[in-house]
Amino acid sequence: MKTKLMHRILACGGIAVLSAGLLAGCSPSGGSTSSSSDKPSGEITYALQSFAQPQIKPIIDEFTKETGITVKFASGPATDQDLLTQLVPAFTSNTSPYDVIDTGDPSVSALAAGGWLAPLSDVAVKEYTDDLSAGMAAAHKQWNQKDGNTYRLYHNFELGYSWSNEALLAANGLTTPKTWADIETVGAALKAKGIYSFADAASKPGLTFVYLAYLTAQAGGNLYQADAGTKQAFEFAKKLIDEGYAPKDALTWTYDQQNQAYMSDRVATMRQWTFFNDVAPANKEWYAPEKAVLVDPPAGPGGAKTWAGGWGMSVPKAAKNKSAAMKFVEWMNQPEVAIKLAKASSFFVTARTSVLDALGTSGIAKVLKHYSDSGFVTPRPYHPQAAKTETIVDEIGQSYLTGQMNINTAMSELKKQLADLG
Amino acid sequence: MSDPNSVAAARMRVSASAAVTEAFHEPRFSLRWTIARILGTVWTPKKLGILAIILVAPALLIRMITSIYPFLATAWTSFTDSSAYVQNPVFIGLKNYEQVLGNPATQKALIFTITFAIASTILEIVGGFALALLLNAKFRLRSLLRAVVLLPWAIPAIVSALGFRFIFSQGSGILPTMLEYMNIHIDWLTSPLWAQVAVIMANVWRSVPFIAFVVLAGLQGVPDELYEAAKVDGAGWWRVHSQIVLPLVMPLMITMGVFMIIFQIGTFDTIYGMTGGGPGSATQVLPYLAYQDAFIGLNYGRSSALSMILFLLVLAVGVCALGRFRKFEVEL
Amino acid sequence: MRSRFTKIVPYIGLVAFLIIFGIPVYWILLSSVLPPNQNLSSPPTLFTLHPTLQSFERALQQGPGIEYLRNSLIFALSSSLASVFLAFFAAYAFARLKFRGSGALMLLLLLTMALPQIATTIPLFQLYAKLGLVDTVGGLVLLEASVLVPMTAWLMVSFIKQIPADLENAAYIDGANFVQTIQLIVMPLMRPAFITMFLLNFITSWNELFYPLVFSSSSASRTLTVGLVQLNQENSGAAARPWDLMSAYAAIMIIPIIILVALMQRRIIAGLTAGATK
Repeated sequence: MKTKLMHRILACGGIAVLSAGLLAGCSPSGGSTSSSSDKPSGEITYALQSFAQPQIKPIIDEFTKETGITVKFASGPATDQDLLTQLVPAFTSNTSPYDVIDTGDPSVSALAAGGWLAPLSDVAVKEYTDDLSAGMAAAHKQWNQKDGNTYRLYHNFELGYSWSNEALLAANGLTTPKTWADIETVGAALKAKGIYSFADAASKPGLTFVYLAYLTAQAGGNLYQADAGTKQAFEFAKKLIDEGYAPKDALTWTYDQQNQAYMSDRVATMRQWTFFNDVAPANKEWYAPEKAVLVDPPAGPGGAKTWAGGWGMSVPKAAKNKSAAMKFVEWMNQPEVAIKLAKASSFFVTARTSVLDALGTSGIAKVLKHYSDSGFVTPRPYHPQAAKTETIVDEIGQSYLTGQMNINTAMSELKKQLADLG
Repeated sequence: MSDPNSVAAARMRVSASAAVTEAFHEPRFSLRWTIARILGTVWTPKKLGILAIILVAPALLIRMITSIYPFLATAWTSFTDSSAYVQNPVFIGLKNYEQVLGNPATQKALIFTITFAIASTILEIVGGFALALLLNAKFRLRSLLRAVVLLPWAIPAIVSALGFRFIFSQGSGILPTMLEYMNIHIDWLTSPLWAQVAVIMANVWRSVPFIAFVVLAGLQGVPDELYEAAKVDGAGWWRVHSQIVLPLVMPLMITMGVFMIIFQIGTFDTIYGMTGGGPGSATQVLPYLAYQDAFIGLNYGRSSALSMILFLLVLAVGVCALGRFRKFEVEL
Repeated sequence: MRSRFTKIVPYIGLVAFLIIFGIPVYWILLSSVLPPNQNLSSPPTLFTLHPTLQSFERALQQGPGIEYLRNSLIFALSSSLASVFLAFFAAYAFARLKFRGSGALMLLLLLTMALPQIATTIPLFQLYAKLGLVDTVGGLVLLEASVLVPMTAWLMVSFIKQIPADLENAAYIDGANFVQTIQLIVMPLMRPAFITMFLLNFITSWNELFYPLVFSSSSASRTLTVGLVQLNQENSGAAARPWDLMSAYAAIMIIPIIILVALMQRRIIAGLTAGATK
């Protein structure tokens, strides 16, 4: 009896070793199976953040109906850091688990620089570029194009919006702060009640950068120069924390913790991404229109500003079904499809002229148009190695904000570490 | 050595020879048949040598491929400008090391890596000893305690790290809420010092059980006569344990301590899940820094330099330990 | 001598340690049966009368959760089987066939354990890229098994040495060859040791984060640990972090471990302490 068992364990062990070798042997070896005919067909895998998948599924079904290409969703990475750590090993071995991937700004520039993305077909690009509003065209040129090739098309163009709990402010005899000075005044007035005048989740990785880049834009600075405006922005952020006008805990917060704080009336105004527009009304116990009012961004020394960035579709060089992938990107970015997508999901709202015109009178698109028209929108700070530089800003920013270094060290460190990247 | 004439041995021999007879009737050319022909039953030293090589080779080979080769390659890479953006990396001497060591964030990470490993180890040894004494005592529900104590060690480190992140967070976390009732307010994860305390606490929580069970095994090796003798001498609980038991398990605890320091210098999961090195770089450690440089910065040369510094740290601890405790050799 | 006080002390310790070690695990488990909106409530929820399995349904029915679970199982089972298998033969040679240089080889094998994982990762990932092993469960198993081999072999040596060599000698004298001796004499006696090492290695590889994090690119090879980390990162500003999924993943990872610990406590502890007491 026992011998049999041992036998089996022995056999299983052997099989495990062998199968590890075998599995290893029959790994995907690239090579497209459907390149024989000109007409793209077969199946493609599209890596998209999971929450957006059900929202756009019906439109994808139309694509399949029209072209015969089936689209399989895979849950795509949600941060640029995550995206690089997941995909670079695969791309280096000249394979790709996906045919189309959703990429953020920093990751697309890293992937294009690594030579791992396929230039998108001219057909798709031409129509797209003609349709961009000015701010988005600048961002497109900066992030999506390299050496005359286009490596990504934005399907999502996000702004950091300002929300104000006007009900809460009014109850305390206050109004929405319009400038940095106002934020401080309101903060001083609300402090005794345990309410913060402003909040932005700023945890690592990535979110500290988002916040500091936002303030730097308002200070009129250039983050990657570590200039006077950058210094001003850092100092303002520190002052808000030290005076108790903004929560120190926000340095560990994620965006939902920020929403949670806002929706329990502990925060009067905040910078937040588009998705809060859906989150707030969903909280029926708390919501009232005057509690979540979209307002203009507060003005710093450089004016009322916010920055924009987004996610878009790229095709890996090693994609197995590249022709179908190209067809898909092309189809998805036609103006009439883009409008449908924007209506289906806030993750597909962009500042394309066609989309803005179609949605311009309602919801978030109206505010997007207003922000763009009023000149509030600056581009995301650009660096060819943005994924790395954003983690540098995270680290130095947090170190400064928690009192681990003074402002001068922070600025000189920022300069030095950026210079070290070469 | 057991008695070769024992009943059990005899029975084993009989059943073995029966099975052997059966085995020889197997079809030819099976793997087993082939091996039997090669080796037979006559053992010459040469045959034994071949056998030993055949037996050891797979394990050794697979381990060499996944450790020695990549380690040497890492050492080489650390002297090159290798990155995702460079097609043909070239030798650049010590430039990576200069850059890395000249960076205050690395220096801080280096210091915290050491602090983290040593502070954790000391607390684990102290806590492990206390827990081992408790587990060694006789009381009801002891086996329940054993099972519960095993859990922190057995559950995934990344789960406990993420769990602790929320246990320590203001508002929704248990710990700050409890402390708030006692009117104690601590910025656990936003103050650099407290964040360091928090990650060390979480790490100790995870590792104390392991130490406790090892020390417990040592305690169970203390002969009962010693306790009896001490009792006859009129020594109380405290004196028995501090003057007799502690010195007896001390060598074991020191060996474990060295092992834990080396092991915890390479810590990754806890930091990655709990603070991501934050706030700022207060809880940053070398392995996570090297990981970020490699897979976010895509700068393989610099990441390798960090890895080599990490390795030198391990080596230093190892050499110190060997010099200090020469008698704890690897015994086969 | 034994006052009432000394009788109470263990129970005070018991309660203290039960709270310290039990509460965090309990809290993680609890959050998996709370409805999604209660996960972040402030003050924290400490118990519930209305547990719900909603988040488990979502974790296993939608998205790649079930694939991650499958990968984790295959990965952990194969790694532990392969490592026990490889280590047993090496250990047998080390324990019984004292060949020249055996001590040095064992030491070398053990020393590789001191190498931090990150110190070998970059070349491995370049090697794996060339061999096409990136994003395959097989590639991960090879790595994990090789990492587990040194410790397993070392402990196995002590387990094998506890078996009297006379039994094997007797079998050889009776005309058994090597394979038969191993199979009929050594392996049955090693059964407890196999189970112990298998359990320890299963737990270690079930919990492994680093290698899958580096070498997995998609749900073809991603394990639950990496899946959890990924959910934790879903916080880019496009959507809320899926707390319910995270707690479900965490619970799915913890529950098998709790069952193993409850059933196999003694074997696991035997393995943990084997290296220390020999």
